[in-house]
Amino acid sequence: MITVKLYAYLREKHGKQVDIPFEEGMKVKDIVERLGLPKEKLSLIVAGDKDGMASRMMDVPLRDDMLVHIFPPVAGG
Amino acid sequence: MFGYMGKLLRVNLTEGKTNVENLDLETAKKYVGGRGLGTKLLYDEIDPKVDPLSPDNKIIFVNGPMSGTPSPTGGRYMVVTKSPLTGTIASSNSGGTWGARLKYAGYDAIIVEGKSEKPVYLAIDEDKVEIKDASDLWGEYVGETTKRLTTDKHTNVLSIGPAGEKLVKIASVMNDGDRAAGRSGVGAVMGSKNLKAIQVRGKHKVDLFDEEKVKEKNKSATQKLKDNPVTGEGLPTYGTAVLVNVINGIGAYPTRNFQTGVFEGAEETSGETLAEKYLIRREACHRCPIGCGRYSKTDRVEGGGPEYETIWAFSADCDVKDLAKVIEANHWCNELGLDTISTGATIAAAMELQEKGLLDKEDPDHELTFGNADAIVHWTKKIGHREGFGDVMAEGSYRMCEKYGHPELSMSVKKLELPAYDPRGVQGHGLTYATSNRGGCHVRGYMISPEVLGLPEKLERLELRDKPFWVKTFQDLTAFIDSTGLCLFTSFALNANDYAEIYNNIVGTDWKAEDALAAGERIYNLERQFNLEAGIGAETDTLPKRLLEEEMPEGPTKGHVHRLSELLPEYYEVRGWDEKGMPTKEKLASLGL
Repeated sequence: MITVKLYAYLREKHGKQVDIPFEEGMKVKDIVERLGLPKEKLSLIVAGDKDGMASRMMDVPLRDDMLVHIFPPVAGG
Repeated sequence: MFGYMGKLLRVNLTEGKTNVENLDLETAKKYVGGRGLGTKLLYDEIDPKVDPLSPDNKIIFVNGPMSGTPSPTGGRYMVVTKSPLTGTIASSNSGGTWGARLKYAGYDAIIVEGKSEKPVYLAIDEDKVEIKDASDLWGEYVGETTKRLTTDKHTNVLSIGPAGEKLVKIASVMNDGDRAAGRSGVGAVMGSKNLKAIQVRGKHKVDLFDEEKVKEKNKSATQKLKDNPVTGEGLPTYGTAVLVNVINGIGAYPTRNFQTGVFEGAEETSGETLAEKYLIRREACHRCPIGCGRYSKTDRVEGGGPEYETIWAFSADCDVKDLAKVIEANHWCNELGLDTISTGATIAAAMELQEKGLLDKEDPDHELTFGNADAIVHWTKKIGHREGFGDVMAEGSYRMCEKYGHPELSMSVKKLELPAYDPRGVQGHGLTYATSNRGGCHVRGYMISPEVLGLPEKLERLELRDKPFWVKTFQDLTAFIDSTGLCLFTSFALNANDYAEIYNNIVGTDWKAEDALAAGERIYNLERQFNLEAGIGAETDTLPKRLLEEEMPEGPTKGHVHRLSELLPEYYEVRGWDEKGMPTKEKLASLGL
């Protein structure tokens, strides 16, 4: 199972957390597509111990029991 | 005169006299205003070696040319003085409306010098300036002081709370009740002069060089801010605390006095939870289309905040998972006039001293353990009133840890407590901490933008390549923005060209982006010069030992330390400083210093 945590306004549609059954060969982009998340509205993605901008994270392979955080563009300080 | 009001108000509290002087326009343009002009005035008028809490120190409240104009976010001002916490130059920025009101009263800056024998407040009603007795306000909280001195809708109030009066070295200057010039202990300098408050009333307008162009640019800049997902959606909806989950997500959210970078209670204390459970309404500073301010309510308190940094300092840094208590601690910081970052971080450092058995048994009269939610409220009040062990904590984390023989447990740079990003996980940001002219600070070159948020482009957060160049550029641009009177948050959507254009339309200059950056560099170097003459040099351009030597124990930043020694020589070179971190004569000359 992959645990996907969503933040800020990405929660409006899917809530805080979605569990997706793991399939062999799964990549970050498979999750994004399955949840119908707008790619242009994604910013930081953390998948296990890797993190980066969404556009560079799409092909990161997933492992079973992995935790994935998906953020829209936000900032603070 | 465009953008500037052309007048400085000098107040000598020893003699009880006030005097209006003309602003030198050439100097103003060279140093822009705000942080830059304040630094120039302070550098010219005091000996950098002066005791910060003596009558010989001065405290300057200074506007930028955009303050009080229709420019989006044009309402910020700076408090510039020598810091009692760090011994460096202090320039502490705040929003709200007070800064703009000072322009409407007709002044670019107030220079306060000397020391009053008795508590006083300054009452400014345009040309009428009085030093009034403040005996009945002394000891009052910020909320009550603000209420009593706000006489009508054209009046705004700046004040200190009990913390500033008692010379707490992490005391803030507050304005409009809940906005803070928070860092570096500027509130203690006001307190040392027996100056409780500055009440400002005024209805003047700021003259603009080209009103039509100002109007056009305001429209396009405001649109940019609204269209940008960060300033148009993220910050308005969730406030700055939306970052809690982001920084925790990358494992750089300092927890238990920076012992780790992952906090189990992030979700319960996040901006999302704040919005869901405690947010009453958004608040916006003067002329701000973003509106990142929060107004929150629990069953015990209500008021402005809390911000991201505040939430972090009282929750993760102290390992407290109770957001309602964090809001309560924030409330008391506002009322007492305390810097929320330094207060929470000092409590966290005390918790680690206690955890390691380094405190004398009889010292704390109340539980001081990580995870204790009551402790953060209890000790905030004790610090603000300098009561019991709070009197030791009121000196800031460095002096407290030094007293117990372990200064290395103070997570500070130049004695200023570090904010909510662990440098081990953001290498460029760590370099800004180490080299910031006011000490451990995140808003002197916010490298989180490129290293984490991908703005304006993504840099790999754990890599070193080009970081010194980026840090210098961010530091210089920030020094310019801080001097204009605009909010730093506009930089998520606007660029250096936008700022130069806004400045030109208001002041009547013909600046390009590189001129704005050059002004920022000039200001940065003058601050450095002040510090060097104060005896604070390159030996303080460092980070706490823990961050340089102890690997992050867990999470996405696991195994990393901060690699400062690999970055610093290149940084000095990019800055045009020698290998000892001293600006070269050639560099200073090229900047007109």
